Parts: sequence; C-alpha cells; structure tokens
Amino acid sequence: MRFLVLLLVSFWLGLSGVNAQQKKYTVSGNVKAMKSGEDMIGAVIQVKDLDKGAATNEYGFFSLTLPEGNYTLIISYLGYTKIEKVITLNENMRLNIDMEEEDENIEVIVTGEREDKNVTDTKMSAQTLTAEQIKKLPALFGEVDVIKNIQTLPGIQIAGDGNTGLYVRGGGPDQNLILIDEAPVFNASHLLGIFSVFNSDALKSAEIYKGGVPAQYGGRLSSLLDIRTRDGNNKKYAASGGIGLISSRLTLEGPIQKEKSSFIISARRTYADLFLKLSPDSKTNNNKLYFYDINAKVNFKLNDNNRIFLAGYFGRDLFKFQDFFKIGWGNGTGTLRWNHVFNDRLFSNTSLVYSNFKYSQDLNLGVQSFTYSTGLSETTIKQDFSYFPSTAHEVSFGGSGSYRNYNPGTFSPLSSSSIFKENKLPDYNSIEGSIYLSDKYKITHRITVEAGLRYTRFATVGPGTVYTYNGEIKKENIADTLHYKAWQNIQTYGGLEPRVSGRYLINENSSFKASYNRMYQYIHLISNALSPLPFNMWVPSNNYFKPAYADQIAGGYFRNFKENKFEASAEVYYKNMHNVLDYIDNADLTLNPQIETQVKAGRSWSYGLELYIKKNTGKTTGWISYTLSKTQRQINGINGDRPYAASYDRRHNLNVVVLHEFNDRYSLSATFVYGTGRPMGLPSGRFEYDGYVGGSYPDRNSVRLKAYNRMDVSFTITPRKNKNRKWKGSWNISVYNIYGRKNPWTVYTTDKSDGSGKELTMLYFPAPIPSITYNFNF
Amino acid sequence: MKKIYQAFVLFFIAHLLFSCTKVVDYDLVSEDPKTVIESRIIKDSFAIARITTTAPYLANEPTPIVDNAFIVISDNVGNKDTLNYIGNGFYRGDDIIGNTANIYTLSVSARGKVHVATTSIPDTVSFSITGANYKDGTTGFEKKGYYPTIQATLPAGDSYYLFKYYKNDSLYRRDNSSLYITDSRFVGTNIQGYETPQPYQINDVAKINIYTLTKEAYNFYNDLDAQLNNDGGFFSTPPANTSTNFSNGPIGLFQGSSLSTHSVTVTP
Repeated sequence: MRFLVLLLVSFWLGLSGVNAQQKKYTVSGNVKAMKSGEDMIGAVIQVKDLDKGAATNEYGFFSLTLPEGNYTLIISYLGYTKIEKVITLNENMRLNIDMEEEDENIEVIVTGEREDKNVTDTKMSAQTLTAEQIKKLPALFGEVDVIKNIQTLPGIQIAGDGNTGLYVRGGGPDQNLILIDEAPVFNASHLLGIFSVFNSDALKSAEIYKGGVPAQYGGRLSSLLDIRTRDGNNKKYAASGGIGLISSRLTLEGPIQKEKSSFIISARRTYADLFLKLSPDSKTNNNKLYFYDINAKVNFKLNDNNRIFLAGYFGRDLFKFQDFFKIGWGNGTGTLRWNHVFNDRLFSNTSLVYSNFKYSQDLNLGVQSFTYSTGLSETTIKQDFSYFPSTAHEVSFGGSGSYRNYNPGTFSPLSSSSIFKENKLPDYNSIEGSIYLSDKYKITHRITVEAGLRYTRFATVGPGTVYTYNGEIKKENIADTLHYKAWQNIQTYGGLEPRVSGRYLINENSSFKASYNRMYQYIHLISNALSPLPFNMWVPSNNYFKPAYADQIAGGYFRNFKENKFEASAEVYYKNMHNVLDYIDNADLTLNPQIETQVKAGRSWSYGLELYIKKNTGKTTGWISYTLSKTQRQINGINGDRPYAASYDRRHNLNVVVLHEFNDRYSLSATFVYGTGRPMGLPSGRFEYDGYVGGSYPDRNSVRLKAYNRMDVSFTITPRKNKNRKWKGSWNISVYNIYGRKNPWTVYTTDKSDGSGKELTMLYFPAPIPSITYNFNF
Repeated sequence: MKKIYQAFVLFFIAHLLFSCTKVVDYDLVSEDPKTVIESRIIKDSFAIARITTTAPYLANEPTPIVDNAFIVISDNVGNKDTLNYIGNGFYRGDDIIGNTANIYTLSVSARGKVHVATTSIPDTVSFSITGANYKDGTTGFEKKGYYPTIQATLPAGDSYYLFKYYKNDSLYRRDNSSLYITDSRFVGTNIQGYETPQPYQINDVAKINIYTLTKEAYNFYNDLDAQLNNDGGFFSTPPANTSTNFSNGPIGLFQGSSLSTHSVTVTP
C-alpha cells in the first residue's frame, strides 16, 4: 500500500512540476534507420549540456518535454553515426530522424544502446541482444540461434547439449514469457529443442529480463523474452539468406509504397531428410525429418500519427518413420497492431494477438493404431499507453484481456479395426485480465526509480469438468464429478504484482541498482521430463492448481571502465516461488482426467551471484559471465517432504565469449561453456523380481552428472567487396564442441549386453560437429 | 494399452539423431539393504513368496536371499496358512488355495520387521488364439515370422493384465527388460487381432499366459517397467521407486491373479 502511495505521489509531483514552471513544449517523433527505414528501439535523444534525455520505445517513438528555448539534441545509437540537431522549441514540434550506419558492413538493424546505459539505466537483470551479435557467435550446424546466445548470459542455465530450454534464475522452462511481436510462444523449440523457433534473419531485437520485469508484462514467474521482428525495408527491395549443411534461409523485404509501407517475409527449412530421399531403399527414403518456419510482416504508415502492423509466424516440425509413426508440432502466431500518437506526449499501442500450439502423433501398427493430439490457443487484446508528462517522468499504463482454450489430450483410433476407443479429455478454458500503471521517475541526477503496479484477475471457466475428492487427492477418493456450462465460473483468482527498481548513480562510471518484483503465473506446464517436450500439456490454474507466484529481490553494482569500453556488473538475487508443481514418483500424465492426482504443489527457492564483464568495442569484443547459484524445491508428498535439488540446478556456470575481427575479411569467434553437472535420479540398490532386475532409488535428484563443458569456434570469411556489386556474401565455418567432449545428455540404466547384470549408459551428442554456411544479401 | 509411446518415440528419434552411447561409471549413492518381497496367490494355487534383499546396483551378483522369514497367509473367511521355506529364498503355502471370492492378507516377518499386504484375485479373462499374422520383416520395424493373434473379451470397467509368452515351453521375451503389461483404459471391451510382441516360426509352440492384476499390482509392474525402460528422465518420467502394497517400506508386491492360458502350434 505504501508503495502505491509512493507511486501516486511521484506521479502527482511529476505532473504538478509541469504546471508550476515556465512554458513547456514537447518535441516528439520517430527514429529510423536511413537505409532500411526500420524503427530503432532504444535510440537515445540527449539534450546537450543538460542532464535530460529520452529513448525511443519499442516502436521507435520518443517524446521530450522541455522549457521553451534553444537546444541541441544528440541522437545516438550503437553502430550509427551520432546526429546533432539544433532546435528552437517555442511550440510543440515533430522531429523524425533518420540515422546512418557507421559501417556499411552492419547490414542488420541492431538494437542500439546508450554507451553508458549499463550504469545509467534503472534496468537490471536484463540484457538486450542485437541481431548482429547473435549472428557472430558459433552456431550448432551453422544455424545461429537467439536462445543459444541467451544461454551464455549470467543467471541462465542450460539443460544440456543442443537444448533451447531456458532455465532462468532457478525457474523452470515453463516460467518464461516468450513473445514474438507480442504474441506468446508456448513451445519455442524445433527438433527436440536443438533449435529455437526464432529465425535470426527475421529478428530485430531480443531482450531478456531475468528480474525487474516491467509492469506491462506478466503471466510467468521467471523471465520475459521480448522478441521483435523487423518491419522490412521501406526504401528498397532487398534479399538475404543463407545456405547451410542442414538448412537454408531466405528473407525478402521491400517497400509496398515507398517510405510508407513495407513487407518482410522470412523462411527457413531444414532438409536433413532430403538426403534420405536419395536412398534407393524404400524404408529409408520414406522417412521424414524436418522443420520449417515462416515469419511475415507488413506495416503501413497511414500518416504521422497512425501506423498499422500485421505480423505472423508459422512453424512446423515433422518426423515420420516409414508408415508406422508420424509426429508433428508447431506454433502459429498473429499480431495486428495499431500505433497511434494522440498528441506529443501520449503514445498508444493497441494489439490483437493470437497464438496457438498443436502437437499430434499418429501410430499405425495394425490393430494398435491411434492418433493423439494436444495443444492450446490464446487470443489477447492489449492496450498500452506511453505518457511523457515531463523529462523526469515516463509513465506507462494499460491493460489486457485474454481467452485461452486448452486441449489436454484427444486420443482416437486410426482405423475401424483398432482395439482403441475414442478418449478425449474435456477442454479447459480460461480468461485473464490485467491493468497496470508504471512510472519511471528521475528524482535527482543520481536517483531514478521505476515503480509499477500490475493487477491480474484470472478465471477458469466452463465448459469443464471438476472432480471432488474425499480426503487425499487420489483417484480412488473421487467423491463427485461436477460439470460446468460454457462461461460458467469454475474458479477465480487475482493478485497484485508490485514492481520496483531503482538506480543510484555513484559517479558517471558506476551505480547501484536494486529491484523487487512479484509475478503471478496462471498456466502450468504439466511435465515430468527435463526437455521442453512438445506433448507436454498446459493447464490453467483451477480448484487444485493455485496460481504460482514468485517474489524476487535483486541488487547489483554496475561499473563501466575505460570510457565505457568495458562494462561490468555483479548482481545477487533471491527468488522465492510458491505453488510450483512437480510430479509424484511414477506419475501417469498421459490422458489422465484427474491430473491433479499426479502432481503436487510446493515451494522452490533460488539464490545466486552473477558476474558479468563485457567488452563492447575494438577489434576484440566479447564477454565473460559466471553464475554461482542454488535452486531447491520442497513439496509435500514428494521426496518424503524433504527439500531436493531442482533438476536444472547447477552450482557453477561459466561462459566465455570472444569475438575477434582480424580485418574486414576475416573474423573469428569462440565460446567456452562450463557447468556443474545436473542432478538426476540413479538407483543405489538393485533387486530381483520374477526374473527382472529393478532399482532402489535414493532421494530425488541425488546423483550429479559429470560437469558439462565444451568450446565452439566459428570463422567468417567475407570476400573482398566489389563496391559496385550489390551481391554480398560470406562464408561461415563453425565447429561445435571442438575438442569432442562427451557431455552426457542423459544417463540411464541398461542391461549388460551379455545379460550378466546392469550398467549405466550415457547418451551424448556427437562431437565435434563441423558445419559450413554461406550467407548472402543483395 | 496404457503406453502411447510418446517418450519412447522421442527417445527413438534422439537415438537416431545422436546415436552416441557409451557405458559410464558413476559413484552411486550407497544404501542399507532393503527387504524385497516377491509374493503371489494365483486362483486355484497355493501362495508362494520369495524374500531377498537389495544389493549394490552395479555389483552384478545375485541378490542375497532371506531364509529365516516367517510368512503367514490368511483369508477373510478365517483360514490361515504358514508358508514353508523350500530353498533359494522361496516359501510356499500348503493349505489355502486362491479363490476369486476371497480377500487375502500376507504377513511377512523378515529382518526384524513385519510387512503386511492385502489383495483380492481379479477374475479370469477369457481369450483365444485366433490365428497368426505373417510379417516379412522388410519394414525394419518388426522381425520376420508369425505373430499369433488374440481375441479377448474384457470386462466393463478398468482391468489390468500381465502377459507371459512362451516359445516351446521357454519364456519368450525380447530381452531381460521386456515386461508385457496392459490395462483396459484406452481400449474397447472386444479385442480382436492383438498380436504377440515377438515372432514365432513354423512348428513353434506358442503359449500365452494372461494373469489378471489388481490396480496395485499393475502399478507395481508399471513402475518396474518404467525402471527397466527408462531414459534417465530426459523425455520420460524419471525412474523412481516402485510402489508397493506392503506396509513398513519393503520393495515388492503381494499379487493376486487368475491365470488363463492357451497355446498353439504355428502353421503357415
């Protein structure tokens, strides 16, 4: 409550400040890249000789309110030439700025950062990745991947080789809100997690928040990954792409109406299975194994005050083994967005968002033939406002409403001779609404506070079926089955989510930051495996699954060295998560209508220290991140009620990333990763039963796998350019796990081949994996 | 047909993609030996039990037997029968005979503790062998040979089964980790054309035993199956201790079953 008062007071102070002083006017507008017309997110507009400034929002819009007078504005953005603009401010004015790239090698729009942003911004526990940076790191099979890049940052753990699951500050893979152009992505992995669904050619920026999540966002406990795709060049037609060993990419973009509207379409497909087609053997050439995805976007500038965007993503994975089985899954998202400038100080964004995820599996084995599917869909409408009352305040407020439909499992026979019968679990349905208000208030030169409050209300609604139990929640204790009609309220929850972060500037090179946030999560992934599996089902909070919520506090010291050449940070965090779900021993999660009997809710907590140092400029750039952390769980009914390590708990995690440019033709990058082995369950004793050998298992996750480490190297050759030629190409040669470390993917118990007993077998990723990719644009 | 092989399919793909496996050595947690009780009462038979203890997982030696246990079976109509030790850890009753109308309680005193379990005997399932399907093995998915087919009529409601296959009177399974159990959850009541998992050749005698199981017994075998065919929890449920119907924390099961058996000599 005190927080709320503080927020209102600061808001009032800010507004009254506007009225009390001399006449003020607002300069507002958009910042764009000159060559492509792309909006630039986070470009900085600084008032020369004054400690005042603004940054562009996600749509390239800025607003700066100043007393009447003459000013010099300095507009800067990493990788672009600084612009100085002299303005006479005696009325509200519109200023649209086109920025020119410093180096024409940088073809991809990057999210720029103010040079000392690390120190001056209130933002902590967050990182922005640029498309350019993403493309420079070594990549598995030559397929650069934003998620793999994020995994090199402090506080983020990996599940294992080639796994795109994100485990952020002790959170599970279902605790990340992953947005592509504001649409949630429910399963961000292709090919069992080896690739993510994000095609790097289509990306404009990726921002990950491990904490201090803005009040605008909510719905997951541990992180926000906000991915924005490019708008497309609105000045000229362009194409880019890459041809790799197992996949190819192609992006086309251009103006629809010059400088007013543009389109971009980006596609990629893997073709490992095309080689299978060459096989004369009908068994082999009938197999399929591929994924593809398509990103498309169009945007129209109706006038200076109105813009419309329509963006979509569609991706599918398919694996088919002869005629016996076929599994497929994929996401589809769509975003319709309207940017509207009400006036110089009020910017609005309205979005209508749709997202779905589907998984299906066919097994065709004579009388044992069936098809199985699961999935969910979400439709959301969102209204966000940015309000810039004065240079001291940046206010955002808005709200959203969403409807979700979940198919927890539909199972049907594939033929009339099948022994199976139709079995469909009843759908779940839920609605969720939120409102938020947040203010970034520059109190003094040294102190800036960003305080926000979000309120969410959630209801799971009919049609639906709810079981009641006598005593313990077990199948044999079912007391009654309740049926609900469409839109009938089954269970309602709600919660306040305060978010505060503050920065104290010690001097121009260093600052302290602290943040607190509470997050609520109303959807739960029912999973018992470590991998982000496509058939895992999502269920809403209901009578048995209470909303999960997390409180996180974090503090950090941020320091830049050598004129911002190096930036460094040390952060500590403590996160307490409630009502997180874990499965009981031998849980039966398949087509189980009483799923509440198979999982239990409890507490999970995580704390850690994260060190990060990054070199931004020069021929050699890169970063080192180190995380020391511990993540535990305690859930009544699991592991004898004793605490146990989460299956993604790793004590130490080290990432070293080095990029070096020899000259404009050759560049080299290397990454080194080290992580303590993950804990898992392996038996301590063996027993014999009717000719079988079983195991006696100690506490959950009591054995640690051997430490994970690998080094990847990538070498890029850009042939000398002919200035007059539009076609530009480069070769990228990379080797994943260059020293061939056999890192366990998983370890499991097997029978010895001679039948004499048991042994432990490790499944590991082959290594080293070399790849070559040719990238081009014209 | 409980398993719909999702995790199995993914594990299969993972193997296909990254078929690198290696035998590894890990320091496993050590534990004190636990009592293991394997016991059953089959319709129309005497009760039988085997008492052993666990041994270190990778020791690869026979597990120690317990020859001084005191085991009594009783039913809900007032009968009691003490099981006699017959060697190699086995004990057998000589009075009570399994009856689907009764409830049985087994009390095992072993290694200083008393463990008690209760079971019923689910009634016999009627089935017949209706023929055999020939497969030429060219798919690479199934071996060449004849696969006898079963017709069965299942009772309404949930029912649970353990299958044992024999070839020429020897137990016939793919490997030491093949455990054939199923439940009626996803199937209709009339089962036609259900094939044996392994092929037979001409003139082989194929024998099929179907044991009915209680829910508790099915859970035990299902948990054991999850241990035998686990992937370490990467795609499937991580292996965990088997459930038991015994009190006081041993490993094992007191199983009540009816047995139906049919055999056929395979002909073209």
